[in-house]
Amino acid sequence: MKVYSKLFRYVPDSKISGYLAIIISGISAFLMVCGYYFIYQFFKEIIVNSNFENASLNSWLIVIFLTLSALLYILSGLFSHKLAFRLETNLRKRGIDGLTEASFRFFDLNPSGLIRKTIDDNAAKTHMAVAHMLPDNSQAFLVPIFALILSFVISVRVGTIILILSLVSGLILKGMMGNGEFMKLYQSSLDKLSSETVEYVRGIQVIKIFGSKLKSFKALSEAIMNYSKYAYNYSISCKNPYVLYQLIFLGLIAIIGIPLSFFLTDLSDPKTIAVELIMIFFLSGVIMVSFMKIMWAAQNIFNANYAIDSLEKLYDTMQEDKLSYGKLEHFDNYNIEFEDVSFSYGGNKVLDKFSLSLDENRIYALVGHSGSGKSTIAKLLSGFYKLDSGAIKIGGHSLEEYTKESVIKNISFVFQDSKLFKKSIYENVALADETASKEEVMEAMNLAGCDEIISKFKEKENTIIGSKGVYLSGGEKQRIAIARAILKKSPIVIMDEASASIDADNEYKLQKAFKNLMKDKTVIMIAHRMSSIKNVDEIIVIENGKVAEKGNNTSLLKKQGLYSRLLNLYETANDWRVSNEKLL
Amino acid sequence: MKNYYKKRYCISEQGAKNLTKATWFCFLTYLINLAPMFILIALFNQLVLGNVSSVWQYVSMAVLTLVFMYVLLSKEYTSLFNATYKESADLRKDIAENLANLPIAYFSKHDLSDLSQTIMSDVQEIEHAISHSIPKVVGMWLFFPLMGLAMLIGNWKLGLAAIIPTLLSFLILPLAKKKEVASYSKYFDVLRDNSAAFQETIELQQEISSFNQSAKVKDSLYKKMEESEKIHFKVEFGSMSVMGLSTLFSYISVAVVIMIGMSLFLHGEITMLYLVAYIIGAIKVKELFDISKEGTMEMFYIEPAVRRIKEMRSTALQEGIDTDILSYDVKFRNVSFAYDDDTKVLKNISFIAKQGEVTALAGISGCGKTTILRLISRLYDYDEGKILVGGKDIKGISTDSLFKVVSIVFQDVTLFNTSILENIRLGKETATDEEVKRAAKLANCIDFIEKLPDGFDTKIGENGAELSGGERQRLSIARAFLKDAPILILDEISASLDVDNEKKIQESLNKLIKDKTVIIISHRLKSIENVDKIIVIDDGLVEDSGTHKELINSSKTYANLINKTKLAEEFSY
Repeated sequence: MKVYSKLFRYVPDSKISGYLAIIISGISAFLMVCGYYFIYQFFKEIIVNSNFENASLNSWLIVIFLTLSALLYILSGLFSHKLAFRLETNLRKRGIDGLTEASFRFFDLNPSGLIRKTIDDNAAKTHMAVAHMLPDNSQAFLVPIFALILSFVISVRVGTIILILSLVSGLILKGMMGNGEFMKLYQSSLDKLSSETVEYVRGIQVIKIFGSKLKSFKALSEAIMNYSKYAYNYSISCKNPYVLYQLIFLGLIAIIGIPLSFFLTDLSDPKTIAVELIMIFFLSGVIMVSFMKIMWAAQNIFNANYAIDSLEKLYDTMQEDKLSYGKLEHFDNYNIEFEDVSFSYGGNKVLDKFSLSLDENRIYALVGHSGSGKSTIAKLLSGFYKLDSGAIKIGGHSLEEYTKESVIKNISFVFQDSKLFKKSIYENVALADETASKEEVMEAMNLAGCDEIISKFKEKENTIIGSKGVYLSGGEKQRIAIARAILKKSPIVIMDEASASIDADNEYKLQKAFKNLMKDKTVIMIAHRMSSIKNVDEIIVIENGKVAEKGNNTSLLKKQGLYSRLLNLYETANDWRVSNEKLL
Repeated sequence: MKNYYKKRYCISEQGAKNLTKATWFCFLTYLINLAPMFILIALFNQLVLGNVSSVWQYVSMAVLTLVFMYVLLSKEYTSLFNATYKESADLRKDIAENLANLPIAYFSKHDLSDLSQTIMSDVQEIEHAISHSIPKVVGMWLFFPLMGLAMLIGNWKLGLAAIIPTLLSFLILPLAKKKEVASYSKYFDVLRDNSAAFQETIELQQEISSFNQSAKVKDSLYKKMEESEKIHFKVEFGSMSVMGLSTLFSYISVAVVIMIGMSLFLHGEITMLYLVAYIIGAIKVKELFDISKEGTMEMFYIEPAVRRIKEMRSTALQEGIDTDILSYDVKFRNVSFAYDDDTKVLKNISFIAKQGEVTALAGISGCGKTTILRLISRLYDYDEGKILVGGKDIKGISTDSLFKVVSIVFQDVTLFNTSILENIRLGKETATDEEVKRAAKLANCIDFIEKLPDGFDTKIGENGAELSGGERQRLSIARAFLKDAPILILDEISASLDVDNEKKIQESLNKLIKDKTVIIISHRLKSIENVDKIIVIDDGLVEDSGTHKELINSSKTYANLINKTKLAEEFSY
């Protein structure tokens, strides 16, 4: 039941619906058992007292109570559904809250599809446990209790038999669930099957292309067989208790009948005994149905528990990385200082006590091998990452001392694969500065080289991104993103130069757009094309998360160090030509 | 019944047979469950009405009941789970095999996680329904007419009173389902819409945060969620009220029998024994229905899972016959292709990549180059025209025979969670360890493999998570070396790698392409200057083709790209 208190925490204002659902369903259970009480009265009147008038009266009471019970059960379902829908909504909202607060590290580490699936699917999974099971569960637990009380009301004999029956069957059921060893094997074979399936499906195209179906199929097939075997073994381990459980319920009358048959002729009150036997038959049936419901419930509760745990784990991860802000609104200057900054992805430490100072209004280029840490340095400066330790200071104050709005206003960044909203091209740019006039927005687009993109479409700048027939290449999207950054006019600009998978035409246009963006700013760029950074104020060579060299092109070349080597490699790679040696 | 199961639930012949067997055991169990009722009535007959039976009659009846019950219950249990897990294993294997025989293009068009879901959770749902619902519910439908008939024969009025409300309560369930399906499709549209908005929010998180849109986006999402909550409630309310009606009928069925029985009894139409027996019977029937209700609902709920499996099965399998390809020209003849119906990506493309020559495709991003490579490798199937390899239409030959002669090195490389050795061996299953290592050496892989903890035997994690982009590509080049197919397709393989890796990849590439028919895409035009033929693609059409020298003068697109390359190289911030 812990799971319900966990779930209810997310619906503080609808809790009342939950309690109402439970209470009403409880009353419905009580009325139902009352109905059975009148069935008992009915039989007593007709069999023992032969008072048919009273029996008729009782038969009416039976109809009334059972109908009322059914109606209340339906009402309870209404409340539980209301609660379940609110819960689902709130769990998703909570997810949205977390998303807007989480640092970018969270998004770097977790694929977007997976985040959405975790939130969406698990929120939906709680529905069954709340909407359908809330009324059913309270009935399943209360009905046996009320039935037991009724059985004692009927007579001590009936009460004792029903009590013993409940205890014995309860024990058997418990024994059935306690097969830990089998359960574990079953669970692990299921996990294995799941991962083999993912791998099989993921690799299937490649496997077909290389024509080696059989081997990978063998691994999956083995996992399938193992799962099937352990699942079967597990279910067989439950066989004896389950069969026994059914036997004592369904065969109860036969079991009682054997000893009873020896005394039948000596009974003083045979008619009362007959009524009691009928009631035992009924009540044992009622209890059995309830117990079956509890078993169905166990599965649903397990699912709900799993769902809420997965959700809470995700919420916690988002919270751990939550960004914090301060009250400062004004930047005194734009000098940047990395002070003993440490940062890691998962267990992988990318920066360890990294320090670097950069002066305002200069252009810096970061170069280095992939994995050297240069991208991380640029990303951290965006202000959307939480450091492990150390501080990034701008204008003498750590980023965390500024308000969120001032950080956003003063720092712009354009990284690789910028994404666009499903709005018009114009709106995508304009959102960078809501006070900007149309001229300013169009000017920013012009500076970023977007005119040519816009002219391709009939709707011009009002073309909706992602609508039918609107295709933008990576380079074109990037230019719209640059227009956005230009319009924002932040004094600090962080940028990642175009990747290599771009055609020359687009690359050149991007370079020009970037150049316009950089004008009169403090710029930190990650450079890929070594030839383009010859004239920047300072080149910083990063190696293994540390500054290996820095200086301008001339001074670094003189050094004949890492920079020279990188430049050399770049030039050979750039000059390479596919050669069919046969022809040479 | 067997054929019904087979068709309805997509299961195998053997599975349907086992399921039928399990169903009959369920039916017999229902029958034996009536025995205690007869003992009860016999006891009543003696205790109240004084019709004495002997002790031994009782004892033998009780003992026989218990013995039969035990035997049938355990038989039922074993046959149920036997049917279940044998069938789920067969079903999974069958789906996996079926997948392997589908056209390669099928996987380009379907989300891979959906396919995994079919093997995992769809089968699991069917599995659960087989063990918990299907045989029990069907068994009950066999049992119910029998019981109903017996009750009608005894006294038709009471019989009807017992049968009709229960039957109604049950027949209403499909109605609830129908109502649900109808209104749900509307709800699912809303849901899909929400999901898309949600996904977009996550994907655009960087942009949302950095342009201070969080509050706005949050508001609009909140509103969407609340809207869908309202619709969901409305939709479910419909099916809920029908379900409620069903519950109501089941509750009052007993009451109806008591009322009518009482009136018949008072009018002297039936004896007390009949009255009591029918009430007991009615309660028994209600109990059975209560237990099977969840099962019946479950049978409805697995329908989407069954439908997905059916859909996959009905997809045409890979066609084409095994053929030996003996010459290695790749020829496009008037090929057109569109990913979706309205936008043609390729428009009537024709060209030849000659055997033993290197042919490069050039053009700006989005012109259709990559699509051409995808069509040759059958990741998608062309719509019109013909693609010929060695004179044979690639749609007419089996993929096995096509890929015997074609190697592909793509930008993104799929690796498996096994050793480096096995990952390379994928290129040629029969290769010895020595051959694999030689291929790795040719692909410049040795330096990073030696740094790994177990060298060639190192397991590389799911999809090679432990390796860098450049390392992954070198492994994929090693596969191509090992395969040594006469036709080689290279897709922009030096994209987004840093210089260090690029240099090594380039070195191995020049070795790899020797004496092969090569089709290559590269954005770096300089790298393809010396190839035998360059085909310039613009907006899905072949604009021009020829050597570098020819194209500089004849092709506008090519000249522009060359010019821009120069400008980009000389550019300085």
